[in-house]
Amino acid sequence: MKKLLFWFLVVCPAITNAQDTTRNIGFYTTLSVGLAAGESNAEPVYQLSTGFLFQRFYAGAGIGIDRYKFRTYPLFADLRYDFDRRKSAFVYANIGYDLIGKQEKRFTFNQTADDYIGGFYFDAGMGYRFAIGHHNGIAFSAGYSGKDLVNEKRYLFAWQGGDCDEQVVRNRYKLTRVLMKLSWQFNSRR
Amino acid sequence: MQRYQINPCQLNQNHAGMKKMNSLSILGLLLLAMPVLFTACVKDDCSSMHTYTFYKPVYKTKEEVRANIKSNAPREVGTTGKLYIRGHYIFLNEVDKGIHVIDNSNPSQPNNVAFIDIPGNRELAVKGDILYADLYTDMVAIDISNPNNVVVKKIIENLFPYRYYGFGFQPDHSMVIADWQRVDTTVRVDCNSPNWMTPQFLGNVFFADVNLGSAASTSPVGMGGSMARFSILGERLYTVTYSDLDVFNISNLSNPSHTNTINLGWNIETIYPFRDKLFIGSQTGMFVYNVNNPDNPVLSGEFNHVRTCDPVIADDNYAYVTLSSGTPCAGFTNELDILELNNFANPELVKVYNMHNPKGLSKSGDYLFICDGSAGLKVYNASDVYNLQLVKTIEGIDPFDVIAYNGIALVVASDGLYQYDYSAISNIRLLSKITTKN
Repeated sequence: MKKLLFWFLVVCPAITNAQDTTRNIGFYTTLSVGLAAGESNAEPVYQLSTGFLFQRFYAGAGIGIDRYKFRTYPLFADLRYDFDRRKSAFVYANIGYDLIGKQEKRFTFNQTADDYIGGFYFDAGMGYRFAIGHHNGIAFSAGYSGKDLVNEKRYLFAWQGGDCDEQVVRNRYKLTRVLMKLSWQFNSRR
Repeated sequence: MQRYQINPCQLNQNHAGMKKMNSLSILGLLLLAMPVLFTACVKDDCSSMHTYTFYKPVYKTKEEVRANIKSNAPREVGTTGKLYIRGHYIFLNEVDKGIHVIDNSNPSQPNNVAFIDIPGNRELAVKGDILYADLYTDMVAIDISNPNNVVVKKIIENLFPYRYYGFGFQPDHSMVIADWQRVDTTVRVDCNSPNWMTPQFLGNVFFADVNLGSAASTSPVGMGGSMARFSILGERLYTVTYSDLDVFNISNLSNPSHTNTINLGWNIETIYPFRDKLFIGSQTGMFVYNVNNPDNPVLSGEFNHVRTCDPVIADDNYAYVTLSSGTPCAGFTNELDILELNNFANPELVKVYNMHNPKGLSKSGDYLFICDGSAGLKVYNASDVYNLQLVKTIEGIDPFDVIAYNGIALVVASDGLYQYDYSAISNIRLLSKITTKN
């Protein structure tokens, strides 16, 4: 995970600066902070993505920290369409997989496992980007987001001798929420 | 009057600006509206699947069960329990199922010759041609003079306490639980329902009992392991439950009679006979009972220790007690305690050796065999109890009881019954293994 973050935070921006292209073709790096507001609460979300813009289409990959109910690290493909070439409204879609972060595990006396399994992640919405100079921009966006994960607990009923009973509890969570983000975008276009 | 002239270009520019402002406003409104629009769609949905693997009792009538206590066809060994050797036969308990009769004339090729179906069986002892075994709360005496055609001689009912299954499960006591059927089931429940103990609500859960355990003795009777709860000394069969010592007169081997019950306290685990003494292991200590009056053993000494499991054996001068931690005995002590028996009223602890997770043990001559859990079977030269010398560690097995007798060590492990030839102590070698089907 640390290596991945290093790649996004250090290597990608370096590539972004190094690879300069034509006006409507180039690399973008986007750093976002946001708030995921759902049924039970609102929690902060952080994302970093980098990708390639061609004309009005952008495709990249990102990673995030999502603290809504369970701490997860979404790995996602980042797709965007800009309505205008310079300052513009845009629509976006992030689709990927939620990696599981460190969870607080609560074991009862006969519990043998408390495992988490990641799942599908998505975030789709629209936003508006205000250009700041040639290379920077601030974007506001709002979207509808969801993350799935499974919590599996195992219980063993073992007394002296004999066979043991086992119970496996699989709680499958589908958490949907509104995701509002404020992003700083940096691009290498000229 | 000033006349305004409209520049078509300016008009177009204004129009474009207006359009852009309108687009921005619409977009801004949309962005602001999104949280409101989607509020109805946000949900913390949780669906829970509970998968249970539990065991459902298969009942038989008492008549059916008793009719089936005979030499049935041999079958593969399942969960191994207590062990008893008599002559060239091994009687190996399969927990709650019955007893395997193994012809051990050739220890290199033991031959499983019969299986005696005794539901609920965990304990056994043999004297002469009679095998004594528990059948849940009953005791059965079986003539094994012909292992291929054993005959029930007597059944004494309601001697031992009912099994405790826990979690509210109450078996039908008018019937006998002959087997357990494995059931796998999955149900969808609310995420907020309790995460455990749910099987009881299905009415089928069982848990193995904690009350009864198995066999022991001296020559000329058979020989049992140190984990035994049945033991024969002279013309008496002594059995221990969780709290009581029961005495049976077996002067008429095929017609045992219950003569006495003595309360020992709690957490009693094992019984081991030596000379005119009974060494009783409990989770908190070792008790020495004098059997000068065989029907009325009297407490003559005790040694207290921390709460652990503690099988015990003895020789002329010393008692060897293994203390082990883990379910169900709790505790954090894993050691071998050696007690001097000069004064039975007050056995004196003379030496402690740290162990891994010791369980059953056996002594043959100067050699002490200790089942040390996952660390394997350890063989010590115990000629000097103050300085035990490790002779051999047999790794790769998880043994829990051992009988070392006449150059052959029979070792009950989680995966089967092993036999080792230790006649040449420097070259202990595996003779055979009967593998369990699990």
